[in-house]
Amino acid sequence: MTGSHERWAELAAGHALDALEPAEEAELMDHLEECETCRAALRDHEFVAAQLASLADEEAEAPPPWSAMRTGIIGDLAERRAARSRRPVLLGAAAAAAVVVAATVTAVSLGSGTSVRDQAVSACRAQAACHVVQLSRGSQERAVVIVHDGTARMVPTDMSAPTAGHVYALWQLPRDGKPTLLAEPLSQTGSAATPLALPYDNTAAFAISVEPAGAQATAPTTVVAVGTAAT
Amino acid sequence: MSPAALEDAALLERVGKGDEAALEVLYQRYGGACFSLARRIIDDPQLAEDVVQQVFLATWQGTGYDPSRGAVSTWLLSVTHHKAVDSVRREGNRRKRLASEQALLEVAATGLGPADETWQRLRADRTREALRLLPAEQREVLLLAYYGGYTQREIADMTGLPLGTVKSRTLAAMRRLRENLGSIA
Ligand SMILES: [Zn+2]
Repeated sequence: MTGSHERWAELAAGHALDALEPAEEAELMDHLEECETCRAALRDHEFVAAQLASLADEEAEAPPPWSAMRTGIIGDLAERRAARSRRPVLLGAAAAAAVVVAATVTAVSLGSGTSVRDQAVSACRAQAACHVVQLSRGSQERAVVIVHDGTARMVPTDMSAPTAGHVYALWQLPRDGKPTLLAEPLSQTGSAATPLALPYDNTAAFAISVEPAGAQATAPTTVVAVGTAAT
Repeated sequence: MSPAALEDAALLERVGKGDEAALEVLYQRYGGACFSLARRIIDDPQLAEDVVQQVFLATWQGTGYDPSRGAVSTWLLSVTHHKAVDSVRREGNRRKRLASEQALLEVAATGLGPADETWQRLRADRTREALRLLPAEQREVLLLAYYGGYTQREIADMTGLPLGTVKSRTLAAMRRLRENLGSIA
């Protein structure tokens, strides 16, 4: 390696540690395109960095269970795929959006601009030992689950009717273990208070999934909203 | 590639075809290591969880893994590190207070996971040994970058060293570690 190449070698090491400034990063990326020597060096540095990661295990803090992770990973993408395939092919994007909006039930307005959702939330907040769990898709709240007195009730914020032949289902996700079905079939208008499957304190999250109508679901198929239970 | 690495590559290929069970196996294998790493850098457990979720979401979406770049585990940890560092550099996300390097060297000896993680334990032991063989000033810049999530420029500011010195020490440290670690890939 020449003296001037040492500079690239330094950048490659810094990159493996994510310790470069953005400009250096960009410069190195360009160089890597054309330099096999530096690509090989970077592979070595990345290997070393991964070994450093092994020292991080001291905390013996359990990672989140797969059941809790899954909703944010699979549920997310499965729903996006489903949304794509539902969209009428011949309609433009705007028209397709209008179809979705038409089918959307936004929480019914009661009197002076107070929605069922807002009312349920403020009633809950006024009570002791009542929990509000917000279920969202991305940054969008879709529903809330009101947990009180050993029961859970799903109140929609913004939910469309399930596609034909499908229903919604409400799930309770334990901190460790498989999701348990709380209520099915549900429509976009929500659920009555249903007994919890396990204590709220052991709950990692609640989720709403879309399931084929007619058969009781044993595991969430397509998660459309999820919310973490606060401790 | 070791048998485990080949198995991981096969799993990742199945993930690419939309096989959820394969993703779950990868998560069971490496989710814990990724989470520990994110937790070591980020103060907030929820943000660390978000980082791990992003890593496995990227895996599920099939972005970025290049088999010629090494083992799947290495890739997962490097994506985790990148996203964790990104998270602490973003406004308002707190860095974990960096443990002293001595503490870092000791943790690997005491902090053991479940009993079946003997390979992981061996790896940590060897890494700790390899780190111990580095000159202290090399170890410092390395750990500030990797676990502190600081850029080399920030490290220069913090330590009062010239930026060029931080860079050359880091490179020397990485090369030396590579030699000390030998062929445990
Ligand atoms: Zn080069």
